Amino acid sequence: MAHRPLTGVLLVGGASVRFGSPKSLAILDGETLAARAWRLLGEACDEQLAVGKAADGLELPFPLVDDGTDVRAPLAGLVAGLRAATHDIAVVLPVDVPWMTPAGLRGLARACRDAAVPPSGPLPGAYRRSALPTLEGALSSGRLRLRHAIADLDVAIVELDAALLANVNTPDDLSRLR
Amino acid sequence: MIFRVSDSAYDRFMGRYSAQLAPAFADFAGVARGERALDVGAGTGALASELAGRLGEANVAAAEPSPQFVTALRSRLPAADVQEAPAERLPWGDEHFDLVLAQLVVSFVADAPAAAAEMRRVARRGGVVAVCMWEEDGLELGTLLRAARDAVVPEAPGPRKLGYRSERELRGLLQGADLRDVQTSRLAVESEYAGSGDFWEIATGMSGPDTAWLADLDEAQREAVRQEVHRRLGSPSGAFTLGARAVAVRATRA
Repeated sequence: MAHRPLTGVLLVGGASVRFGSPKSLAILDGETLAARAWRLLGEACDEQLAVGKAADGLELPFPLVDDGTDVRAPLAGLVAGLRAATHDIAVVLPVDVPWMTPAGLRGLARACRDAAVPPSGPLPGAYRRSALPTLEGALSSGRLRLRHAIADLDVAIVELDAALLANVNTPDDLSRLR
Repeated sequence: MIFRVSDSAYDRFMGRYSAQLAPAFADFAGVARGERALDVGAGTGALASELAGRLGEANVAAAEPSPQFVTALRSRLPAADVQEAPAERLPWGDEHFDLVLAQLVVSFVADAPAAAAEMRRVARRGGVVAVCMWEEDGLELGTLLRAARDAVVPEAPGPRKLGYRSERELRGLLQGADLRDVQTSRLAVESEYAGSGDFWEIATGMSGPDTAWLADLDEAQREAVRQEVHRRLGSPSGAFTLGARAVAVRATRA
């Protein structure tokens, strides 16, 4: 099968403030979660973007695409990322899923119809740019929950090893992962 | 544990999450047309309603110990078999159901192993027993409130610690009830809030394990926590979502 170019979208916004300090800047194995996720997307994708809120003023080692909305929700980052993507399919990775692998992301991209997500939920996931009107409609009407936003899309469910999907919600989670 | 809050306060606080969790949990449990299912600790009916939508109300039963929730359930699902009963004493005969599910329940029952044994008893051979709970630190609203408390009123009494909020404990619970082929998944959902004021009003309107400690604070302490919550939310000027992650475990009765 011919190589299909892939955009990687890193979501750095939102929950980091609840971590007590910016979650994106938390250290795991000598690098920040943001740098780790950015490196992963670089290994898996032909183009990579990071989306968040410029006003949060995080010192990140890569440029940030501002999501352009007052809304703080993963849906806002997903929409901004798909708008900025130049390839047809984007894999979207929250910053706090440190054990995801390039193979896992490519598996999601290969299965992508309008979207492809694991059984656990809509992120991380692969999304086709043609899904944008549906997602933009949900965002503009204030229906911010991703599960609802993708309910009208043709979504493939992809089984991934649960270990790849472990995420970091608290400093204690991070300590356990170290 | 019997929740002594109004069904509307519960729905505003937790129902906004549990209603979204229900379809994901039903998918994980493998609910299929033609089956008969029991919802144990049905609360205000988030899961029972999902099951009724898939199986038909007449094929759904619900056990719930809180009288006011039973009333709400009977009103919401008039054709379902709703019984006022604790999870440890289910009022149905042996091997009565194809599926026996408990969503966000086992941490709150007085005797979780006894509840699991009852769930097994009323499941047919080859039937499925499944439970799920918010994972420890998986409920972002709880993490947020706890972090705000630790930052500004660390001396105040904290949230109550609950058991059965890990994969290890939930797997052990079902294995301890002699159930087989145990499988696990994580299920992630979000809830919307119009702003941090909306969040605060809802959080302080419900006395549950994550919020009861707020009632013990004096006015100045509560205001300090409120301001810290707002700050940790990123001082939002618009709507936002908070995430919640459940650990779900299913097993088969041999």
